Amino acid sequence: MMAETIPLSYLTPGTEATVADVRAGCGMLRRLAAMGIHPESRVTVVCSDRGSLIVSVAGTRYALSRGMAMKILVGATTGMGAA
Amino acid sequence: MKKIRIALAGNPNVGKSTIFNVLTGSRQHVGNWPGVTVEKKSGFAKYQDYEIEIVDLPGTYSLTAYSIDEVVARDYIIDEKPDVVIHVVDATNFERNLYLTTQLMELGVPLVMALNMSDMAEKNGTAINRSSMKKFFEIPVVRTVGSKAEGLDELLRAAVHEAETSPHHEHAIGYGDTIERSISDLGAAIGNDPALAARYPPRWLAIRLLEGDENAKEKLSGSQAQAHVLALLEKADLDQTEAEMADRRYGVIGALLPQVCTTCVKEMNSSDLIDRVITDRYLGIPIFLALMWGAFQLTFAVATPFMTAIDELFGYCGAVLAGSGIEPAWLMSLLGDGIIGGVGSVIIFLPNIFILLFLLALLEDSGYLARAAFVMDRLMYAIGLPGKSFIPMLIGFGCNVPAIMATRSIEDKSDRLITILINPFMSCGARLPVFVLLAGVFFPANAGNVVFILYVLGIVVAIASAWLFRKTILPGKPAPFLMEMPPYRLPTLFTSVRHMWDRGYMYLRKAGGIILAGALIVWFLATFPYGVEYGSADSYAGMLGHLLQPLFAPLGFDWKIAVALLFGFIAKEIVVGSMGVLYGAGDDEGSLAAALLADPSFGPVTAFALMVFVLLYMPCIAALAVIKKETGSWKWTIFSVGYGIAVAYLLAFIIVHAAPMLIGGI
Amino acid sequence: MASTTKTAFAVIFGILYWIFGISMIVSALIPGLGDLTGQYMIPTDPAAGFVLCVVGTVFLFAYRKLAGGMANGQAFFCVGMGLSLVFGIVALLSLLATGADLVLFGGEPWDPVQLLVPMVYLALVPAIGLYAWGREFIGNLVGA
Repeated sequence: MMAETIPLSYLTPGTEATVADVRAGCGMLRRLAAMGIHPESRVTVVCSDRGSLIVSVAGTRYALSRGMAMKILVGATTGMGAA
Repeated sequence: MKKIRIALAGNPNVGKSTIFNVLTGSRQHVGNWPGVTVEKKSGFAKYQDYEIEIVDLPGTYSLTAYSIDEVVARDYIIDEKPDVVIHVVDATNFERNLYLTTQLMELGVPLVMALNMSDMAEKNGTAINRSSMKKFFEIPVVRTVGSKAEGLDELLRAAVHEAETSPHHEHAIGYGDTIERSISDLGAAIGNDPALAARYPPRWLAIRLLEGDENAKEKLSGSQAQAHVLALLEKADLDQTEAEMADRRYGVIGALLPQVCTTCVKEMNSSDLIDRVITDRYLGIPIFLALMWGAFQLTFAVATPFMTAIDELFGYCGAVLAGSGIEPAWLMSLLGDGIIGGVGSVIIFLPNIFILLFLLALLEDSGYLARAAFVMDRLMYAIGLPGKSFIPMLIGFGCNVPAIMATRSIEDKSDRLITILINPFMSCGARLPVFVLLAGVFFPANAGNVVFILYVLGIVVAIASAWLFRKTILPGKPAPFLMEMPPYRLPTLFTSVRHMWDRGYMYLRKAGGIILAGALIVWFLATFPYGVEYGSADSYAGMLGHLLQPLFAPLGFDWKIAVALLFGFIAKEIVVGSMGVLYGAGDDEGSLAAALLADPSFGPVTAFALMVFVLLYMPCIAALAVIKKETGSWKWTIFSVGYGIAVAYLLAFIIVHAAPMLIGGI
Repeated sequence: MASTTKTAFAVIFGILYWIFGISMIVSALIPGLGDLTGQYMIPTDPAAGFVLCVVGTVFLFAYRKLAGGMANGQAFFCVGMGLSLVFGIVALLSLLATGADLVLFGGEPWDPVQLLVPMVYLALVPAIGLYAWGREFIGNLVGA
């Protein structure tokens, strides 16, 4: 069964999701990974406004512009609590 | 006296610099890593009978070569082989920090972990089990609170101990059979070149190569093993490998975490809730504008009594000098008009600049400025600038020199270049003397508003220029915004004052050096040939002015203004001092004002045009020096001079010629 | 219980800040009006007026969320009180500095009554409110 994925920028504040894919170039990919954003990681949306977000990853907060958030795809079924 | 070298490594914002500052105190030196614009901070500390050299490496999230900072940090560890690396970890952001830990361990260096900001973590309810950590990583873990200088003694003790004892464990993360096979194949190939293997730990180098690290590949050049290694790499599926390796690392961290930190909390906290307000789509920008108003308002208001005091002081010095009857006359003039007058005009604006920098530091340390960059990013994207440009632009209102240096945090080259090129249009503190004088004399009722208009004009020109550059010489879109938002915190006076000082001292150095030299040059040109009336048309300054006058005639600027503008190239503060000299008013502003009013060719329109010209015309020498250093190119430095002069001339021209029509029409 | 007080507080101060803010802006634009408002010790300062309006808006947003039982109400409320306090301090320090300049160097007489500017006195009650209601909220923030 293929899980749907949606870009992170569509999520609402308070939602938690798992990253499925990151569509970025090598360098940015590595940088995101070092910050904790990589497939399988859990991400929580703190604030959101027209696609640009502040998210919480591994206890740290990051702000991403819409362009950036559109590149991060997460599983469409959002989870509350441990999977 | 035994000597030991320690490197401090860690993520940005973990308090590494605070620890460095406390350990080294005043025995530190800031320079540059060779060949790059990254700052190198090194210093000395003493522990028992050890003399310890400490190098503060740039903060990095990992040691893969995405940015210059990371390359510098890891090259230092590999090439310089410090005796110990102290890995400073933010206990409140524990999980994220561990990624770097795994990479440091793979480098095989003697490691000590400093669990910093422990007081805040404990307050949060985060409980990190240090003894489990020690067991798992097999390295000492010391609890520290850098801002309160706690735990630092123990930290040094652990570091010295690690340095002295051997052997060290090379901690290996198992990457799974397939990858491990590739690693050992590559490792063997690397081992065939003993020189290469001695320089870089083979396993580490193999891992880096498998991750597609370009910088690591470069390290192979010249080695006899290069061909073999590259051939092996061709065969491996690198994309897949890289993803798997990151996965493994996180797997290790994920397995470790519950054993080591039972309460690593991830819930929404007050900081997040505040963010909901601060970054609200409607309130975000108004709140930002209001806070900016607060900062500038407070700066001007609080600076005023200091400025008055300094003015009185210099006036007093001048009077004492005049009464002292020093011979010969030219020496008196040198001291009075040259030094006191020249330098005085700079020192007087020191409070202004330092207070603004302090308030900006407060906003930055509280965590707010990061949010402001985020809030402004959307707007800035539309003009072709990244949100990160924003902080350097703000600093530019204090002084352009530290502002341009602050652009180092912008990774994208075009973004950074555009930010540097438009920065000089942010009206720095040095231009204020000119504005205050001219606005005060020619627009007495509206002086404040006129100055405000000039500031706004600077911003407008900066934005228009950015838009223009994007359309023509530097096309492309800004890099997408991605920035860590540190938690909101109450800033300490100490840290903010320190930040203020780091940026402000550049202005002081400028005052002591360039401006003093410039003031003396002005004095010299105004005094000689010997015997002429000080600052008259017969002096060298006057002759120079008459030479330049034709260039400025279309703007209605006479030779005196031309000379003042020329000297303004050295530092914009000198414009007022030079005008004082040339109008025969000395350093007494009252009489300069009177002299200006008396001059028939100098009216409100000319004054306004002149202010606009000074606002825009080109960066001062100190700023140009920084532009050259940060861009590394003469081409762009000269461009910024040419562009500035062109824009200034154009706008001044328009003002001078359009104004009579507008006024006549009213 | 505390919520009705907070809601009332928010709407009252939201409106107050707006009233003063607008008068400061408008009195700068319409000549002559400045004399009228000056009698009530409201200076004509459009920029400061704008700032007052911003604080007022935060309070009004807080009111809407608290009254509607929406999430984040508490956050808007605390930030509103916080901003009120911050700008109160900014205004107070600025006026004290100007006063110091006049007293020490200017020779002009300075009356402490000059300190009574809306930005300062409107902040007094929210400052107390912040202490009463916001302490826990702020305490959650890690102090450096």
